[in-house]
Amino acid sequence: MKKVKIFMTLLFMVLPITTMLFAQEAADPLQYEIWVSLNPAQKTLLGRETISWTNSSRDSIPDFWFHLYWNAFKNEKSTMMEEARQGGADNTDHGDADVKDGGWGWIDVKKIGLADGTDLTAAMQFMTPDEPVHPDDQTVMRVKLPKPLLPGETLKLELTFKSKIPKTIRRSGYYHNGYFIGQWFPKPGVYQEGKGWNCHQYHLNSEFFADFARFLVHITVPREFVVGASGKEVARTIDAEHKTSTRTFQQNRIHDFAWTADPDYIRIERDFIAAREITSGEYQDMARILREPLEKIKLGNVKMILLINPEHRNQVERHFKALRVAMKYYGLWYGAYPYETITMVDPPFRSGSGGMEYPTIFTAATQVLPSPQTNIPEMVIIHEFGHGYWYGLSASNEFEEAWLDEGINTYSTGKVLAKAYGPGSFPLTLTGIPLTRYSGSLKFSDLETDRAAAIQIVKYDPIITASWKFYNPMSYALNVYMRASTCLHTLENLIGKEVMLRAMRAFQSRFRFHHPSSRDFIATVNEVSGQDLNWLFDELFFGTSEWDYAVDQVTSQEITTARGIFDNQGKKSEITAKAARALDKKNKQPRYWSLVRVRRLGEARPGRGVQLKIKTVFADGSQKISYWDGQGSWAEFSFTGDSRIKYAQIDPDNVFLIDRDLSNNSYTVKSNMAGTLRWTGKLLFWIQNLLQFVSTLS
Amino acid sequence: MGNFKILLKGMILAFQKRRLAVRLWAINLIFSLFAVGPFFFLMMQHMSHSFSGEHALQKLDPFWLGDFVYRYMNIAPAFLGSALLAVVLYLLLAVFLNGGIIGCLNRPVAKTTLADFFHDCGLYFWRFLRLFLLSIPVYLAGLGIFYQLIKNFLEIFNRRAATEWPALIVSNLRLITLVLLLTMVAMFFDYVKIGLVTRGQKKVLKETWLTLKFIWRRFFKVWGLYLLAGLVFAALTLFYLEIARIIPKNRPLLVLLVFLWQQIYILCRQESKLLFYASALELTRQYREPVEKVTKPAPAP
Repeated sequence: MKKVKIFMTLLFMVLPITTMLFAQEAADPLQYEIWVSLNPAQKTLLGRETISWTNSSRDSIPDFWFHLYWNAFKNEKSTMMEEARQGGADNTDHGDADVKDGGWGWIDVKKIGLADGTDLTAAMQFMTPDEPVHPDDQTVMRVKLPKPLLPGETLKLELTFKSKIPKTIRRSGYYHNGYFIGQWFPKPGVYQEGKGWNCHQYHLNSEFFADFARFLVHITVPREFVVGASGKEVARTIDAEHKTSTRTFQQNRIHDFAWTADPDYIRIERDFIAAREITSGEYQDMARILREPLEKIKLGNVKMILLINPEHRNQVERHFKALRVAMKYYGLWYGAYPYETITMVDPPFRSGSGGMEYPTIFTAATQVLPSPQTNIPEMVIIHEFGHGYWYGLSASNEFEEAWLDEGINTYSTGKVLAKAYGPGSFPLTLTGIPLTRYSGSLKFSDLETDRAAAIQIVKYDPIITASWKFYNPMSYALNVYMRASTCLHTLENLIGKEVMLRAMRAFQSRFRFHHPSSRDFIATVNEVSGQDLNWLFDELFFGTSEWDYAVDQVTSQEITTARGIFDNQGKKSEITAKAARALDKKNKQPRYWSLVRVRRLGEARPGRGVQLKIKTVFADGSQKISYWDGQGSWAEFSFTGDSRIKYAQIDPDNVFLIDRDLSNNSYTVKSNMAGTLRWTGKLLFWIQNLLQFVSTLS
Repeated sequence: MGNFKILLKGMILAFQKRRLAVRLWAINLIFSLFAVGPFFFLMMQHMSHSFSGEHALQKLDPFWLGDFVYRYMNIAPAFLGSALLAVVLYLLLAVFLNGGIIGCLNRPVAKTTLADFFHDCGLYFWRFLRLFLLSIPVYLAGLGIFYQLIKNFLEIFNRRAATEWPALIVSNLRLITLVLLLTMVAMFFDYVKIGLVTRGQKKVLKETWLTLKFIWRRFFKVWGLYLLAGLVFAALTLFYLEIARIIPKNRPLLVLLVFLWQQIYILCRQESKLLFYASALELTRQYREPVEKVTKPAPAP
């Protein structure tokens, strides 16, 4: 009886969890089960994959599209390689996409068929949907179905594939015995109702886009390998005869799966215990700012797994501290991390996979001699973990609107770093040896460096541009990361920090496990802020107009007695120059007429109702605040008072950080040479040293 | 005589002729001021009436730095071109000055006048210029061929590296190799110059050949002395850096203090340049006979 009671109690405890699990599984229209085996001698993967996909659209679908990303590394005719070559001056330079002989990688789908045994292998064909056409690209594959898939129907496919692992390229590949395996399996595109398959080729500048799914992956590797992967390890078996082990990882509601294997990894587990990391005061503050009940703010515990190279074992604490900080602030600001595990990988030496995000697993990046004063590897850890929110949860289309992940995450990373670490030192090194001891006083925040980079690139492309359509990789990187982040800071300055936080939180919670677009982000910001901010997005995100307002002229003149003929009680009397001077001398309290002229030097301008602030400060300490709608080419403001102008400043609160020249935002009447002398002196010293060195060769 | 003793004698000689260092410092400063002038006026125009000027005093603010780069990016090639021209001109000036430096160091009197200095500059200029032209292919061969060979050899280890440490060690070995090769070539031509002055030799090629033979016979002694003088310079630089890093730089007076400290360092660099020549001169005096002495027939008994 007691046993029955215990059984019943357990059943009632387990039942809700199981029901929840199945309900969640049902929410994923896509399910994978993959068996993959690593052959280290041949550097190959052998895989078998079953896919179950439910047509949740109202369309009947005639075909099924896959990404075969590793074919980007197959030869120089792939889209990615051709784009890389086009960037080089002599058509042979591939930049960081260079492949040495023997290092090519590829993926072959050996067989594909329906679960009922119907063979579809002959129906496979490569597609090149993007312009300009790269006809020999093989990174997108289409399979024509025997009959269209009707709304609500489920398609079950079975594939076998073989892949050659590339030698360290684009965050995937091997070096010696270290492997990082990303974008490695045949992955379906995203079906968009009424539009068809969204399945782009592998582009040089682009990242990825996929549907949320349930993954069950069985990875077989030599027994001595330490393995890390997306999701949670749920089983492990050892094959003594073949000296291999098979690890099974499972995770629901993620849109990609990556794994890594290296016999040298040291595996360390820690727990993120929310009660230890966040005080009740911090919860209450956040609940107040977000206007949400305390219970919705609270975070859960998470298992943190670190795979680190033995050479970096003295940096374990640095890694975990950065991850805890990231989990705390991303969790508090944007919502609790929804998975049980997070795996942080210090990637294998020369695997080229540092600083990359995948669902529930990411790679950090460090070196054997890190500088204690810089925020590296912390910045990388916080940034890559943060992607788990913006790319991982509100999973935008990185091919078409990369800023929604990279820009928002660069903005978020900067905020976490500023909160937890403050500005980092300039990372000066000489052949891997840190010299930060001598550059330690040069400290920068992300916001400052992002803005410095952002203003250089505005004219090239709008932030919201398809990744492969940017002018060049530099324009892609600076627009999508730094310029987007700087524009988000501008938005924050405009609507206020707390409103911005509420908007970001609302965007994250509304679009978790969905695929939001830029329009969704703008609508959320407009709604939460209660303002029409479309103008800001039109000017700063969709356009290439530069923002530049300047104080052009500042003058103050003493108001002197006017000379000439004046009517006085019906008579005309003249005030001569001498008389005027005498009257002025008598006047012990001179009055001044002052003028401030401001100009719009850029093409971008604020929206209706937005006023630019102009602060004028006088020598006696008094100040006047004026406003200008910024629409015309220029405006002027005049003042009469007892004092001359000391300085005038437009946008004194630096709201519009994206202003291309903040130096002309202020004009001080008295010149100040100290700053100029400091840096000219420094440059002089460098030149003296350079010349001294040169003289050694004489 | 051991190398330490020669170095000490060199130090004494360099200290006795310290006026030379002051002259060299002044020339270096004036030349550099001309080179930096356009940048100064550009910065003045850009930020002297802006809060950026005040921010620039506080720190290397990426805000004003970004503005500055954006605004003047297009004229960067002109700046780089001017800098290159300045380097070439200074190189020629240094060839000219070397005659004065070694000539004055070689004079037996402790004090030398500015007239003596420029007299020696002029006296040895054409010889030193020929030597400088001769040194160019040697530098190219030393650094271009030998360095490449050693680099390629080290690259084998770099390519095979399975972990980060060997790669780090190899990259440092590459740097050390480069520096050592540079010291060898620079040292060799220093001794040729000293030979041309102390031995009154006018034939540059002949003196180069004789110096090669001289150094070949006692290479490690000569190179060891050069590296010892190099260590003095390295210690001096480290001392400068340690002091410089603790001085805050965000007040006008402190900026002035830093500037003075930098100029003291440049002056010491000039003094260490004298030390290289002076110690080499002492070694030459010890082991090499003047040309006149060798060629003069012995007097009849």
